[in-house]
Amino acid sequence: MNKPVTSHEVPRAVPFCPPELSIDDPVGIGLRSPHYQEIIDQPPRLGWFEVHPENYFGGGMHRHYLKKIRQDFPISMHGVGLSLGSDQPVDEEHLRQFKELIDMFEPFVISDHVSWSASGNAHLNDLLPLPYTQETLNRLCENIDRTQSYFGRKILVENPSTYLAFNDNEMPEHELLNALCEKTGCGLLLDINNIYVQSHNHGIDPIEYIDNINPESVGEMHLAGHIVKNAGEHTILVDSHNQLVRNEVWDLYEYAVKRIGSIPTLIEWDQDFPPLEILVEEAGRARSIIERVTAGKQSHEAG
Amino acid sequence: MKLAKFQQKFKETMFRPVREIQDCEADFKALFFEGDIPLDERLKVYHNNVVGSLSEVLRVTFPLLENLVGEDFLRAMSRDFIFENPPTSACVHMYGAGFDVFIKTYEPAKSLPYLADIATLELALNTAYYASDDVALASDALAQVSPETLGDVVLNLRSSATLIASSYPLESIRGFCLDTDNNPAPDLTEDHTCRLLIVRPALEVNIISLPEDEFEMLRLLQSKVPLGEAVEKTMAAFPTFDFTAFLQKHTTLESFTSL
Repeated sequence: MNKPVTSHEVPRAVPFCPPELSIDDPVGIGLRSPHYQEIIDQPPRLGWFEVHPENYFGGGMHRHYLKKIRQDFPISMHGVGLSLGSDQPVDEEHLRQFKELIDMFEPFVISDHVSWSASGNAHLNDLLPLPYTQETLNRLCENIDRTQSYFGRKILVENPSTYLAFNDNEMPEHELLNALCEKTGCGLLLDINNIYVQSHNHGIDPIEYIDNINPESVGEMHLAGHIVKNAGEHTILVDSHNQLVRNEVWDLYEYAVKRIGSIPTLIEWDQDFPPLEILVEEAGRARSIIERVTAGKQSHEAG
Repeated sequence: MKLAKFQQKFKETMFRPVREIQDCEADFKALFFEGDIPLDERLKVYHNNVVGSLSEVLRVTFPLLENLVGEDFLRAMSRDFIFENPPTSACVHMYGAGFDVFIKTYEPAKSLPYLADIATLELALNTAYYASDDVALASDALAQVSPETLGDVVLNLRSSATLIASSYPLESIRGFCLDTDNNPAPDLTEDHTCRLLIVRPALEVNIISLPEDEFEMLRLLQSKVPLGEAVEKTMAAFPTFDFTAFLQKHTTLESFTSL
């Protein structure tokens, strides 16, 4: 059952963000090494950067640059390795290294995925699909609880892109996500491109998906590009993070902003990196949508 | 099927050749809704993501190997390695330990006997690049230690340090790979035994070529042999070993961590 939709015309604090770490500008991009020096030399118009903490485990060059960039920008930490959906506890050493970075860099939000990557001792280095069952829900809750209590902070979990669906699903994806938030107090990182990919790959209605998400639980949104892969006579959309955000996804994002509110939004691009200015332009497009929706609401109110 | 068993079977499907996807067991296939898109095609997306991303990690970590054997050969060799040695940690930029040992007995690479040692060198460079940030031994640190206890001091090498001995001229092979001037290939027929220290004092990783006595001394220190005993053993093997010069050199190179 969904909570009733509440109005977000009144500006609210950034959800799941400690007040002292709050941000001013809602849009950010993923921080990637080819852009380090340019960002330091000419800080772009962006509110924040998101990093994959796993890239900063250990020490050396990457931490050195992150320390410099953190002096000028807030950051968020988006894990790709907690493997919250594995049928085993989150790895203690992984938590330890992640926490060390949280203490060092004070991210305004922390997140990982509703997926799994580890089985036994093997790490598969991908965000793998889960059956939506009570067993999965319980396991995710245990691992989210363990992570949140280790960090002493609430985390966000991201809705996945998947290329497989399970016959014995006991609930739709949005219901699993809402239940995770309700049971653990975690929030959602709503990836709009992933919703679009899911709608194509599994024939679900993306608008209905967004309508079914509890807006109060959303702490961040992601936007990314995807590729279309031929599969026999049909196509699969693959969340590739190496393209511009597609127009259909921008439209869906505008709908989500209208319904959920002005939420910190990230442009994700993880391979075949474009010039920094392309990412800044994409972030600018997200900012203008947020501003347009907010202005529309204000004029509606005034009228 | 229980979650653990599904994940185990999925893992097994990912870590074997893609052509075997169609041979998955019926109870595993029965888990999935097929719809318009064939199940094989769906599983191939994941296989491509898993094996492709890990192959890319190895390609980035082993640029010299790629230069020596070419992209296609490295990709095939990486795939065989990945199936037998999946990563054990989500920190995949450190993935690849054991690739050198694997290459040593990898049949298709046996005509390139130096390849495994080049992989050892690249692993050491990668380890140094991502090693934790520790503090170098101050130049006057040992002077603060009382002469009576100096011999008992355990002098630790930096967390980034690796010692490599090889019967191939690894530095020349590396230089040849990185060289854009088309210099002739190094002569591998003569004895080119090399001894190297790979270490990262600050941000840049250094490759330092060592004489035999210095290499032996550092090897003893790395095995936690106390300073006094290490000097004795090194001098017994190499009577001309000059400890004072050694200490000065490696303090300047920042090879040691603070006491």
